[in-house]
Amino acid sequence: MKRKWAAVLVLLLTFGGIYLADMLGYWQTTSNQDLLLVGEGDEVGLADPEAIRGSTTFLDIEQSFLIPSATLATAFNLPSENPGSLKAMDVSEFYEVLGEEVELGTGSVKLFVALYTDVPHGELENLPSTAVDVLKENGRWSESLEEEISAYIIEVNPISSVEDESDEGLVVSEENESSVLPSALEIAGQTTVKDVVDAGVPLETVEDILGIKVDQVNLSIKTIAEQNDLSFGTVKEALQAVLP
Amino acid sequence: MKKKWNLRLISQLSFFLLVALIVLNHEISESGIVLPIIGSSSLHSICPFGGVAAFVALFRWDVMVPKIHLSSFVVLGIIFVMSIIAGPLVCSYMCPLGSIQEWFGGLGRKIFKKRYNHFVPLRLDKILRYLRYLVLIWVVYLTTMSLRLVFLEVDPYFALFNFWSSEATLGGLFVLGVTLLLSLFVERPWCKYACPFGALIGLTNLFSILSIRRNKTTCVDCKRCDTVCPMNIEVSKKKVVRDHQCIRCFACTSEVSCPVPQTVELKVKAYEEVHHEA
Repeated sequence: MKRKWAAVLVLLLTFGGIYLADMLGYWQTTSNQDLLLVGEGDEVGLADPEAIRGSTTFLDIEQSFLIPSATLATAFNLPSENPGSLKAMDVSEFYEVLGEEVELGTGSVKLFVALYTDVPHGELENLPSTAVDVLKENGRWSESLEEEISAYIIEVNPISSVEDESDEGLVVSEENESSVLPSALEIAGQTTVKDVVDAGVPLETVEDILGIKVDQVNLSIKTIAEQNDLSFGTVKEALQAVLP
Repeated sequence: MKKKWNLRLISQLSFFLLVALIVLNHEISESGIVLPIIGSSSLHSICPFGGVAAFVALFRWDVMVPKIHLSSFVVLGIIFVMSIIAGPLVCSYMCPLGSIQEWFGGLGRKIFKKRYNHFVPLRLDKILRYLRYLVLIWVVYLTTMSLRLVFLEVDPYFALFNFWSSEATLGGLFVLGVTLLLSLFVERPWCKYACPFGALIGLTNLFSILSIRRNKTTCVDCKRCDTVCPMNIEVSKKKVVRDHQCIRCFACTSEVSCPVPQTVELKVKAYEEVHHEA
């Protein structure tokens, strides 16, 4: 075989293979192919923040909206060694400590993503002040926006690292800025067995609750539950009860 | 005389540019601008080694390691098919990290002339060539156990296309810097001693359908093929090159440097030996 045929083979196999994989639906360059696109207006074809669901990971958002996972984690005050694995629903779980009257959750993520990507947003939702800081730092803030959503900003103390979160992470609500609430480990979609063990629950206890032997402590509780036909809600509740 | 196009160089430049454009597109698409056709996938989604690193985790734990997507396995599959047919063409025609080492090596060759690519003592070199298998095992093991792309911390390929961004790791930048510096002394140091993907794909040299073959009958034993081989393989001592380090660069072939036509070629069948009677 001559060099030119080697070059032809490389090109044919590479692009032909990708084309074939695409035709067969195997060419998936993101982890979530289901995010919807804006169907009309100037933003037609762009990913639609309203399609974000509670189970959408920050990595999915990064790939669909090109907002780095770390930026999202900073915006929602959720320091993590692996921000891509955080889910939109983790925001509501994290801010549960603020009580039912202060709602910060998936809707807040949708609003933040819409403001960050400068596409029309839906219903106004609460945003933590850290998200506003991120918008300001990235030039996505304006006086008119401030007027529009100032009543929806919840003051929180920025947490700068994972250590802060576990040791002395604090959340201050708008209603009562003088009260400080400790943030214990909240079992969420991305919480791994290792996280629970590190929080002080013996591995045997985790295994008893799951009813199986855990071979891989870096797997998330949710994945293990799904793989073993267990209810994540039930497992989560049982684990939450034994957390110190 | 009709000028011949160096198709390998064109291929190397094209793949380097393509990967750079994909990374650029991924970055600028944040501002709403997207270059057509190129696509704006992340670098991870087109990296075949991501597929290797995450392969065991996928089968052992039934989970996809974060940042890895189905497309990584598709690219890996394509490269495997290509390598089974013709050997590790990916190393010499496609890999941007291999290409940039080669380009830096051009400068080293000008500086050190014949000493270039002969600095490492042969004994040490022979042992170091197996280091990349340890890197491969280490990376796959750690990825499988941690379910994270641990290699990212030292990956020079990722650093090469993200050196300007906050995503580049200090370890990756350091390894990239050392690799490029060493390229001034040794041809493709990363490929020879550390590349885990090259280690895996290099194994196809042992059974690929097309192999570099030497015609003993017509060979004039000038050893030109040995001199030009970037991976220091002694082609002149072999009938068929099954060395795990061959990158199918064609440097040793009659088409490029061997002075005798049809003496060193990439082919399926062995040369027929002609026995001269005394």
